[in-house]
Amino acid sequence: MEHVSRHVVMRRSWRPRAGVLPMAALAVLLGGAGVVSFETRVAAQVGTTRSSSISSPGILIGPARAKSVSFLVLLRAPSRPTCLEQWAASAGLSVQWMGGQRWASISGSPRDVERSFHVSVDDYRSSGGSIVFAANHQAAVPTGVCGEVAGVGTIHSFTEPTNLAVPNGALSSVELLRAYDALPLTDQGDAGQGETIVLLETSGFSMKDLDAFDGDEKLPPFNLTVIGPNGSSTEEETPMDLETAHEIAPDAHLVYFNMNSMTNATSVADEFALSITKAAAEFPGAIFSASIGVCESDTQVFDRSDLVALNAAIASVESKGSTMFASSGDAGGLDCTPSGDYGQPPESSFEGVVVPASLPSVTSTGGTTLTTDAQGNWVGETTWSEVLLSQGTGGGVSEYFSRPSWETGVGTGGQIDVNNNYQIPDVASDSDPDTGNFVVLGGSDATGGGTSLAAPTWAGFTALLDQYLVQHNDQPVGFFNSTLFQLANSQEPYPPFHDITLGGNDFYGATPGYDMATGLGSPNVYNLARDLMAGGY
Amino acid sequence: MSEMTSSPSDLPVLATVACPHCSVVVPDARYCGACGAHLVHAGLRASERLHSYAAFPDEPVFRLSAVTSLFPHLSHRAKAPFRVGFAVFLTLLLIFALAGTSAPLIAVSALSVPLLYLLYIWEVDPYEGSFLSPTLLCLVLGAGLGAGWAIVGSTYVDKALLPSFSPSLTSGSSVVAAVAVPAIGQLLMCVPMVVVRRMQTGPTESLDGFVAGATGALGFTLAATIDLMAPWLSNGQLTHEAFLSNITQVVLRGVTLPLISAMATGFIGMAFWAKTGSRPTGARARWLTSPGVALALALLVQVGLGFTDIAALSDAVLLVIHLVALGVLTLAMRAGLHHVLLHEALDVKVGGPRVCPNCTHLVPAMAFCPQCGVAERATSRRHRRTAIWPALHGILPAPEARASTSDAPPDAPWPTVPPGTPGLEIGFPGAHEDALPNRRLSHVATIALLVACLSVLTVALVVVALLATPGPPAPCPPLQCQGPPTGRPNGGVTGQSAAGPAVVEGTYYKSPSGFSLRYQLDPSVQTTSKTIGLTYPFRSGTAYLDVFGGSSAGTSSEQVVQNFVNQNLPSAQPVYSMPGPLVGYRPGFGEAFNVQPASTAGSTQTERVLVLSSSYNGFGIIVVAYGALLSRVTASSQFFDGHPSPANLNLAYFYGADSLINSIEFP
Repeated sequence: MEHVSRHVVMRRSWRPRAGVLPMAALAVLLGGAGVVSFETRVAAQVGTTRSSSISSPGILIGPARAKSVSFLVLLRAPSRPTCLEQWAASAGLSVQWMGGQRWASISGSPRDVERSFHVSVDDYRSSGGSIVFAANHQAAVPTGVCGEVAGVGTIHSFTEPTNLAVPNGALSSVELLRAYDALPLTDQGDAGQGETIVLLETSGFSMKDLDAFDGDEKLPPFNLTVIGPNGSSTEEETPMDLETAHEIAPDAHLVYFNMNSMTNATSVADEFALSITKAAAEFPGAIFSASIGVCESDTQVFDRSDLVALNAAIASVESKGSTMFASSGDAGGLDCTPSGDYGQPPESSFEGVVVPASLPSVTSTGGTTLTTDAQGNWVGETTWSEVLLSQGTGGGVSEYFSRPSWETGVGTGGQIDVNNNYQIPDVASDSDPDTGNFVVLGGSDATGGGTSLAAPTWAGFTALLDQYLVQHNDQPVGFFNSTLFQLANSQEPYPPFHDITLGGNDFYGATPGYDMATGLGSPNVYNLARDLMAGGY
Repeated sequence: MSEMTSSPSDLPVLATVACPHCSVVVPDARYCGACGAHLVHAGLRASERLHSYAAFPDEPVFRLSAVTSLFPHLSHRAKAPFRVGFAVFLTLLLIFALAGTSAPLIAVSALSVPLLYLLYIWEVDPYEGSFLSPTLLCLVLGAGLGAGWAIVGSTYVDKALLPSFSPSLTSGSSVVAAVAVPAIGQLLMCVPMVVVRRMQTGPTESLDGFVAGATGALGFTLAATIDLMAPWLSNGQLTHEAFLSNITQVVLRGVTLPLISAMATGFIGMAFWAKTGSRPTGARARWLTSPGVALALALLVQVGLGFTDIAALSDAVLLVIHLVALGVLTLAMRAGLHHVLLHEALDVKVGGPRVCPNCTHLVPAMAFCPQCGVAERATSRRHRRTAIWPALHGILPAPEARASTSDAPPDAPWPTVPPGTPGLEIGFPGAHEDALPNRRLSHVATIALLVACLSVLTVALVVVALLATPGPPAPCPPLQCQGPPTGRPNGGVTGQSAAGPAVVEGTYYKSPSGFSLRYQLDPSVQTTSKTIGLTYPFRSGTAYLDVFGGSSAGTSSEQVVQNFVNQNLPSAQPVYSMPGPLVGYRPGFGEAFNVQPASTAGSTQTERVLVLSSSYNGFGIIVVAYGALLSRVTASSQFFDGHPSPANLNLAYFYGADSLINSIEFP
């Protein structure tokens, strides 16, 4: 079968993590002969037009020879799409829909798909020899489906059975920048000069790790300010956060802020609020990253007043130009394990979101599993989720905060979130400890992981974005969430996100548009920068 | 007793009659003192006397009574404390099952019936004063065999209880679990009784065999029950199970299994001991007293229950089956015991006067009480040999004088009363209950001793549970226990010792049905044309990962999961469902379940089962991951790699099973 043989070819030639075979050179010949430029449009019919970009798959071979092509469509309601099923049957396509889901899977021969969705589905050969198929542009919502379909997912085979992995098992600084398309910014000299990133931490770090990391990645020395004692414990969190922010924005001023130094704080919310307020007073306009999460519904820790006050404190800081990111949790949505139940088999009652990610003023970062080629070029991205390990991207609905007016678009509110409360995460980036970035932790080489990694990743990228905007006489992003959703819900010249539509955490699937596993998606930083500047957000 | 004030010489001569069933000349009373036949009624049924159980003549043979079936030596009035004891036992079971407290449940279900049995043996003294040695021998030997067999046998049963893609009650592992395990268990239960038989030298009675067999079986089930329920202790003070699950487990392990085993083995022992002589008797059904029949009946019941054990039945169904089996066995055993007593070879002479321990009438000592018909051998040995004279002083010659004339001739003078029953020549005067020897334990003392022993053992198990349970994880103050899951640059996730790069490494397996996958390390592998099963041993328990591939045409992944679970794990409790996990990088559906197989010979440990499915081009994959959980709870734990976490399948932690699931390639 053609599928099998294709996958075998990919498997043989592409063993980036094994360290046994030479790295496959799956070069993506951007701008080369035979390369098709891709632009995708989604969901024009629902009044929201957003675009996403996918890397060029390689050299055009000809019409796709795959027996079957399958892709997702987003439904307007979680009820059986009978009209879509009839339409698909008449078009020679089949629809697979699971009860209660807001999406369905369409499959059929490439020719039927081409006819029905007005695209051309072709095979491409990568320089590594693998053959992938892809549509030449994003399929529009077909007519004749009674309005049941809100959007159509991407039609391609980039993430079909392949080894989801990154070079050498860990992304170097350059590869991380390349994967999320930040190199165009850093190539023009932007390295976060003039920007400050405050990393809110509760554990310590060793300078030896940071020095070793600088040496390995050939980066300039850290410009680091330490607030509070350097925690006695040197767990992996702090060095990973510092190194990640540093490798993205090497010239940015990093502030290690030990929240435990807020000894006059009387509660966890107080500790957060005092830390952020104090740091913002000292470093106005700083970008905050908190790879920390405490279950929102833990009434021993928070009540409504705590969270409303903390949200207001952060919003106040952001009104002066700051941006704050926080990780959405690492337990796949089971992030509210009662402390007495640590180590117990997870129950559905463990479902929950974490503070500060669940605050609308905070941009919460979910996790993905990233696939790149040997140079770090983005190839595909799925939800970071290991269901047997109860590990993966956190996400869900806040109990306390109603849905802000800016959180709109495909996948938000309504029947997906019956309470019409705030949904998290807002965005996502690589968080899989199998595909994360290279870091030095406790004297050892390691791969970063967890949504803890996504927060400093986004903070680092935001330093580059702020610098770019300021250089172009624009304002720094400040409170980011409303802007991110505006970008997602409008037609932008450059697709700002990689929309993730595969996989899901323990409660929510990744779907076209917004979802509670990966938010709006992972960034294309250069596109984001240009959209932000052009849009004047 | 005013009628007994005259001197012996004034007493009438004992009226006699030749029994129409055994032809022996016996007192003309309600029952033949020689063969036990009912003399009032003529005919066959009188000799079978199905309306009058030989051990408890005031109830029919076929009556569902635990106390009168398990404790045949008790007298009519001595039943009461044991009935109360049983009621206390069942009440405690109910209360603790409702509360879900593990240590008391284990203590009460494991020990109540054996304790009652020890009190019974102490009371009725079947070993003629040597209580300790034969009883302890049976109990300890039985317990040793039970503990050993529970460990060996439960592995086979647990294995047969695993979710299977092709469940069959006739597969090899099923036959071992359902036939060999219970059958060998039943034979092992008989071992203590055989040892005691060989050691006994003095005169024996068939009910001695019943007691020895039942004691050995109760030792066996006691140890097996503690052994198999012990996992509850490591879960802490609560079982964390639903009431129905709790009550099923404890009724099965505490009530039906001990009673079934004790009665079945006691029946074998009784038949093994019985010396059914050539005594003429009207009773038929002698085949019921054969050891072969008893053994066959025991094996039939045990193997039948063995099949129900592995049939993955729901708790309620299993409970009903066990109760029905207990009922059927009780009736069969009572029929056997009744006939053994009727057929047992005995001296048929008319003995000296004594007070029947069952009906407390002054009767001539015979094989059966002429007044109430109770078999003498189903009465307490202590009662039989203890002097009864004080209360009858002045009515009959002093015991010393009667010592040489213990056998009363048929024409001896005898205190009789009008029988009160038409057609009867005589009745026997009621003696005051004081005439009976004192019980060793008063009613109150019996109950108090039972409750005290249970309390002591419960406390002991609570202590064990406290010691065995890892204490609650150290409190993790908010903002203090943070740490990301990190990986190793050369592949594998920190702490996941064997998990390599996501997909490309490991042993390649291609199924004849078309799918392929790669697995890590060296599990034990079982394959069929459509499945591959990987078994990984862990110290904390075995883990299993099964993958099935086949046509899924027209069925959604969610339906595939539901169908699989309905068919294979009907008692599975859904925990949470996953709308979009990737299987072979295809979006699918997954659901997590709690499974505690309703089984008596398997472990009580609740298992977590994750079932995932996805399909591509009409080809569906089902992945079932099953087994021990790994707790990663504190920052000091060597496995700590993130936030305080719920437990996970250690399969995923050590063998990167999540990666394996995505290494699956569809055909």
